[in-house]
Amino acid sequence: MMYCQECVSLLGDYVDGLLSEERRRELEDHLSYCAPCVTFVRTYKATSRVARQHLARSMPEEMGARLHAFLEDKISKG
Amino acid sequence: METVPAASQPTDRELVERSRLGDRHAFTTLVERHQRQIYRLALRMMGNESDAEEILQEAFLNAYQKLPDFRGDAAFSSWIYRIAANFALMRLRRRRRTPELPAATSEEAAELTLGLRFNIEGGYVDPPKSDWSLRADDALQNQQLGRALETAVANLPDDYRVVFLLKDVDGLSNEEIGSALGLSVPAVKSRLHRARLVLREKLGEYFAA
Repeated sequence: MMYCQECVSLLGDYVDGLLSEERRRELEDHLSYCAPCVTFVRTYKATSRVARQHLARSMPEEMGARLHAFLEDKISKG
Repeated sequence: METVPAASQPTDRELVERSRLGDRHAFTTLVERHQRQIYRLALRMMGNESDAEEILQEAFLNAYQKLPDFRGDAAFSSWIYRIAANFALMRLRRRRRTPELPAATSEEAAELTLGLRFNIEGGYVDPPKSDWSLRADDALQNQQLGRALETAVANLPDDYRVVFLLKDVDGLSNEEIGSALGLSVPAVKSRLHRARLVLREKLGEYFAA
């Protein structure tokens, strides 16, 4: 029988799909009757989701041009 | 992160071989193929665009100069990741010596208050009650939430923040992160989990306010 503390400690592997089949079943069995852990899992997953939406960054295009010019300059000078 | 070129495109290995023989165009193609991932790595490690750009430039120049030493059995992507990560780590170590920019250490991170306490039977002392996950999805365009999150991420210790951003925002695997940062996969997973717990707690406080 799994307890909440163990459930929380396994959440990283659980949401990343890295738990063994047996552990995953144990954890999901725990979730089937533990409302606080269901809340915990949902908010844990939402944390990553929100971060992805808000913090994704792309390389500015002009930076690629500056990188190209930098390398051309340095390499041509040997 | 292995970049898979289109069928008609040369592989990284072919481009490395051609670059070693002096084909500058081949090296340019390698740079263009990997520059975005290296930029994101550098940005996550340094925390600002200016330093990230310098790391980007240093890393590719260093890669070009060390091409004769590059072992063809390794992936070019892993190799350039490692070079960039090393430059970033060196710069961060130098920065930590300056008194005005103290950085939290892993030991300090271990002391992070997660707001989580369990009783002797492994149950919550204070069970989570508020499920704010749907509100978070509704608030994805909310700039205030974005700012709260950025502050919380910025307050994480460096080595936790980098792992979290590379994994949850940039989508690298634990193995790729470990390889770039010189960490074991269990260490990556541990830092990632703790970072998520801290940020979950902070977002909970935001939605409770």
